[in-house]
Amino acid sequence: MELLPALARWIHFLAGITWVGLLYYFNLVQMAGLKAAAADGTAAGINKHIAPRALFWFRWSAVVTWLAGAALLGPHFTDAFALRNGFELIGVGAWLGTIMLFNVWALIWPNQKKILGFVPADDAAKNKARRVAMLASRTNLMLSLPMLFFMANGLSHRAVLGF
Amino acid sequence: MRPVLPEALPLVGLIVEHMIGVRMKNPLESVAGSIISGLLLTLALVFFLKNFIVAGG
Repeated sequence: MELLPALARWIHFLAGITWVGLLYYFNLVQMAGLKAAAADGTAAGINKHIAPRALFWFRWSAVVTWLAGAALLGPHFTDAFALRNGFELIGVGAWLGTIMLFNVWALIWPNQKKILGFVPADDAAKNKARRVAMLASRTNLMLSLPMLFFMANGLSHRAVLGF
Repeated sequence: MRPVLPEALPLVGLIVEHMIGVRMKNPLESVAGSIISGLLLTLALVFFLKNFIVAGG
């Protein structure tokens, strides 16, 4: 095994687990936890100490995952994104991961900055930001299922899938 | 007694609601709806790849 693809694969997995793990934390734990915490007046601590740290690792692990994935594809990068030459399955995973990365940086993070008070926003803007960030996060939760299916099966299980 | 099915399995609930003529909801409103949507999207993409991309290449 060559060193660079091995390193890229290792980093891709490490960063991907961090990214998707935090995505599942947000969707399965924090959203419901914040709703309960808001009801008893304890949400401020989560918003001040937990969410910013989680979002830091979330957005940057997304970038590292994508870059390591691109390095791993190497000369087959365009074949994957063009869904050709045997890279159709991993290509779908790559497209889904890219859409998820876009959601993180274009929708989730800008709206979380308003929610957490990093940029000024009135209550109406914060409520709208909560809605957009929630739906973008749920979209990524939905996309993570096919993304992981195609990533996991993309290069090694074509016969199992029958093509 | 509150209906359990639409809360536990929103997509199934949505289909049932649709069949009886009640307004559909966004499945991304719930974790379960998002996961069911992801599973259905996986199946749809496998079908799409198998029949329109790989078969055509």
